[in-house]
Amino acid sequence: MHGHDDPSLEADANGTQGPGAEADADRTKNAILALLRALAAGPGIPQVVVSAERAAGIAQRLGVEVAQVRALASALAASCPDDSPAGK
Amino acid sequence: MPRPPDPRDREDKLSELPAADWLSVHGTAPPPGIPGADMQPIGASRMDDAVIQDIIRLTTGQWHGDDEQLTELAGQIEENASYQIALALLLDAGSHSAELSPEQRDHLSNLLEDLASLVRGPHIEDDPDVYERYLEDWLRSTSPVTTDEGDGSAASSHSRSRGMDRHAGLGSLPAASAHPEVVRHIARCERCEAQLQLAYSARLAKRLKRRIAIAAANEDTAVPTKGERGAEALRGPANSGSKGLETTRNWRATVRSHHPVAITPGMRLTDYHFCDITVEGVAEGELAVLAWGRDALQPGHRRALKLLRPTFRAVSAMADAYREAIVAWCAAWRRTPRNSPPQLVRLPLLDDTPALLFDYAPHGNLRTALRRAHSGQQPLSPQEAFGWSVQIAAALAALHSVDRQTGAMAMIHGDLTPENILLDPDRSVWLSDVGLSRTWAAAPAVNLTRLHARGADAQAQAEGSSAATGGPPGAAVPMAREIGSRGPVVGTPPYMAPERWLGLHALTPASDVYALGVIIFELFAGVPGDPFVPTPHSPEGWFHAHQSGPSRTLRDRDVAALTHGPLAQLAQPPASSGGRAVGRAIGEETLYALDMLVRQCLAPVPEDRPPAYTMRERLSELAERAGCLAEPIPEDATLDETAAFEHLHRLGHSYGHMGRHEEQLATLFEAATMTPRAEVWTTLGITLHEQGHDEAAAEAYAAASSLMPAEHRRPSHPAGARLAFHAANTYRSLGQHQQAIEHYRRSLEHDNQHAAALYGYSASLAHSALAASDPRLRRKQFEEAHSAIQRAAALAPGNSEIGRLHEQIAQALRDI
Repeated sequence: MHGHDDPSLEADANGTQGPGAEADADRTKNAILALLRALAAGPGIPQVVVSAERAAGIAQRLGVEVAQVRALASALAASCPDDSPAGK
Repeated sequence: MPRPPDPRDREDKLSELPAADWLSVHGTAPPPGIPGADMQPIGASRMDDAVIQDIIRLTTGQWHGDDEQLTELAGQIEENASYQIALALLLDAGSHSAELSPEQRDHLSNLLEDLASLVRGPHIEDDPDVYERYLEDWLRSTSPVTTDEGDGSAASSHSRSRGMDRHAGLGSLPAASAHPEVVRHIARCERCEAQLQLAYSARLAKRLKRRIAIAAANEDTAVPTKGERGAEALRGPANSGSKGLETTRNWRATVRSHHPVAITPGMRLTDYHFCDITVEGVAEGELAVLAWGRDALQPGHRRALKLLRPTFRAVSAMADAYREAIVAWCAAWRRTPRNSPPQLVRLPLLDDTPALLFDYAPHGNLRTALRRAHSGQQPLSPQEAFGWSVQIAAALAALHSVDRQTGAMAMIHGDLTPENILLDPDRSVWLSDVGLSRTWAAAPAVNLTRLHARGADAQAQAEGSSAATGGPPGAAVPMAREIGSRGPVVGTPPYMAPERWLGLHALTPASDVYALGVIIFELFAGVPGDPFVPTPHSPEGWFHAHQSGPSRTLRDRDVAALTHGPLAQLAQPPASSGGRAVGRAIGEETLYALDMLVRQCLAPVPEDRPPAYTMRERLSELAERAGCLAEPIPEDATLDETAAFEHLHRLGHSYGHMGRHEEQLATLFEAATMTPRAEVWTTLGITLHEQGHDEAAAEAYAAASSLMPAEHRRPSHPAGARLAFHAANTYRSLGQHQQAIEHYRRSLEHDNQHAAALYGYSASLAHSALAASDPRLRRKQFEEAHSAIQRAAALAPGNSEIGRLHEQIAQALRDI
């Protein structure tokens, strides 16, 4: 046969990164930076309450497992300083 | 929205709180014993406490860093899924805080949504611009991974790559993935994955079609025919040293046994792809043999195979006509979609015999129901009689019309009898043997004129066993002057319109309507019998009886329609609905109208008979007036996507057995473009392999593997095992015998009684042995090949190709 004649499919077989990969990574990072800036300019969170129900909601919104979110919430709790609002 | 927790409530609810809730109470890690306490956070080993503290400061209004630090933090969050989850948790907690204003909560909620969109990636429909990127990422995540275990062949490595990726956790995606958030999204979003699978399947189909067209147009790379490729391909690569082992690549294609094997209960009838039936029962008709049993490929279902009788299989013109009739019926199935689409398959263990594959009718045929009704064993209700009449008329109307979608011409059933009308599990009727009677047109001259005589033998056979065997046995008769002038005369005398006696070429749709009239008569009669009484009881007598018109009507007293037929129930209404006299009046009026309809159907001149669609309408109206409205039947059959796919899939496969390869590929590619399912890509792989496009076949198998659910890819699963078998055939054809051996082993792991796999396995082992430089390895491989071919020979006795390979391998062993 004569090899692939559809470049968009051909590139996949090599398992290599596409040309837009780097630009996409920058785009994601910039979007998060914009989000952090908006957060820094906004109100501080006076109280942190993470319930099982909310952990499930976060898992659904992020497309990750509930157990992952719950476990991370535990780790986050361990990291909260006692005198921080989040550690109340 | 849940009520924010009241701090005063917290201590009371401590025992109910899971680990994640501990944060809100203590701000410390949960003690052992709390659910979730033993869970490890994702990426915990890579989590930097300083970053977590920064995130907490940022979200609690204690951040004092500059923009450079903020940029660095954004980069860390972007790279680490755990930080993203932490940020999301804190944003979510803030957006639920009762101490914030609604505007502030909205602000945090919007930020959370933005973050969630970044983490999970947008849906395809949310952002069409990323469509191409999604497709590439999905393909990349399913692309082959070359390992040391093999040569990186598509089919084998696909499953490893795919399985790994689908179950990867956050942060553990393959390095090749350029956009982990996209791959992660697709892995968890069934809707987007389905869209991408469709696009992938459509694009691959388009590309392979183009490649095949180029290959066909290029004389230098002309594809050899199946026969030409046989020995060449199995000789293996020029440097393999496989001299002297010249077997055909596809043993199925060349094997023709001179001793047809009788079909008996317990026998396995399989094409290794669409059916795998263990025979439970066999019935012989004049034209064909019917075998039925449980299908291992459709657990819980019985299916039937109809094959020409052995004597007719040897008549190639008849076998061709039979195949053609089956395929025409398969193509017409969509007009009257009942049960699963029928299909033409080949049975390699029976010398590639073509067979019609269709659903077994558990309730038998209409003859069985009529006999039970007329004997009083199971009387028909008026609803059943009307329902079946309307269903038969509707099916004929659909057959007789031009297919609006494909433009295909009208079809004539040609042998409509109660024997050829089968009952569904829900006791709806569907037409069987559509157009098969035309197979007789190709019969040898000695058999040109055949008539079915419905006698005692036929009655016995109709009971259950002849659910789809076609007509009961008949005998050759001498031709009268007017009989047989337009082709062979085939049919069942009571149902044969006058013009049918001229020959098969005189058939018209009105001939089917004539038979419908006889069947309606039988359905509503209270006793067995036909509208025609032949004198004498011979083919000539039948012919003259039909020419003269019916001698019995539904209103005759001895037909007992109102006393013992379905309409008798109208004269016995429930007490609350009126008197017996009213019911009798309705019955008589209905009977009168029915009788008129039957007379119109039985008009000697075809042009005087109403078309089938008119019969359908009139019967429906009559049923409604009698209060016996059957379930409404839509005028145009509409197929849902699954049925349309199955139809195209099976029809495409059937075309292949007719040598109509262009239609075959076009139909299968259409199915693959419509519905991206692994089955159709497996069928395409088989098709491409059989047509010599082995590299394209390997791609098709890779696509099939990629589109299969993960659990199906295991060799222990029948679908995975079948795919392995077909891929092995292609590898063998490509001379990649190690790959072939590996795939045959997978196939045999699931089914060690697979004669074709054993044959291929032994052939590839023999090739491999011939190429081996180590004498001990060579002997070992030949011994294994010998063992495999011995088992194949035991499973398919009399198969000459297996026998030949058996001899060759035995000779090679002796020579060592």
